[in-house]
Amino acid sequence: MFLLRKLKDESGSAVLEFVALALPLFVPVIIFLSSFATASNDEFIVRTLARETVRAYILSKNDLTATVNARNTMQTGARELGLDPKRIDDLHFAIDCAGIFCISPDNKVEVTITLKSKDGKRVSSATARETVSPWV
Amino acid sequence: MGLIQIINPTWLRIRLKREDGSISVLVFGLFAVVLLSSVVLTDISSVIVAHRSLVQATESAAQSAAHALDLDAYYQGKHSALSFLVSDESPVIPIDCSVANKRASETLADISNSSNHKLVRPELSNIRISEFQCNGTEVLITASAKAWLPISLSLFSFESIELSASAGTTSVKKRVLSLFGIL
Repeated sequence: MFLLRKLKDESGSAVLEFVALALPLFVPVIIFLSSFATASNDEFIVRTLARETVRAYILSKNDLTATVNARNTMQTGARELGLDPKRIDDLHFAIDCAGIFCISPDNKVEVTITLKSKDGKRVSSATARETVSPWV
Repeated sequence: MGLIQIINPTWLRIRLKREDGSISVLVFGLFAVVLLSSVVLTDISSVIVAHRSLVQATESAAQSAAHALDLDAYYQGKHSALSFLVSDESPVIPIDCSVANKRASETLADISNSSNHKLVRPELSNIRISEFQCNGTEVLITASAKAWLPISLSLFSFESIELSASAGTTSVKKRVLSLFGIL
């Protein structure tokens, strides 16, 4: 009797309706927004780092110091952009240029930075190109 | 539900007083607003990243343009080897504006035509130099591009936006003892 009365009672049904509808609708949107924001942030970080790293590279005196300068710039930039130490360790950069020595007049140098997402499932990558001074 | 029922005032009054399903309307309305906001936020976020990409391409083009040495000006009086020895200030390197313009265009075209869009975001298209200013020592470049929205708002005829970015550069010679004016 009590159960029948409780079942007929409509108090709280609005909450149930709200939960039953809102959860399946809003949760995927929130998950999408969250992952998209993370991906955008990573994309922004690697793009900025690629740019700054290639600048540091081409302004160096020779290839040896250029690699060291590029790595330091990348790591300092990553710290400034708020990456945690573990993700900074995961950062990877690759240098590509024509010829044996990258630091040679008017040579084009490309730096590609790759960064794994926090869960390690996605990789953000960005490449920046810069021309070495004709007067090195 | 027949038409007779709808035009029956008593039935309509009863229906309007009932609150069944009112939360559903609220939830669906709210969902529509959230969904639209998500689309707008996604587009804004993509445009910001695309703009950053355009800024970097413009900087690269400006940097390349600043390397166009004006040899005639360089070897004339004020930019001679002697001037580097006696001058206290770092002399700027004279830029050949026509060569600089050509170099900037080539660099930008090179970047925008890179394979797999690895140097610029794929959302960007029609990257071009919209303004080129050069006064012989400084170069200012304004590049424009069309950025396609990842989720286009076709309903509002809003599928792409025009972006522009500016970058200015100058080449400065290091102050070193250089008898021939060349490092």
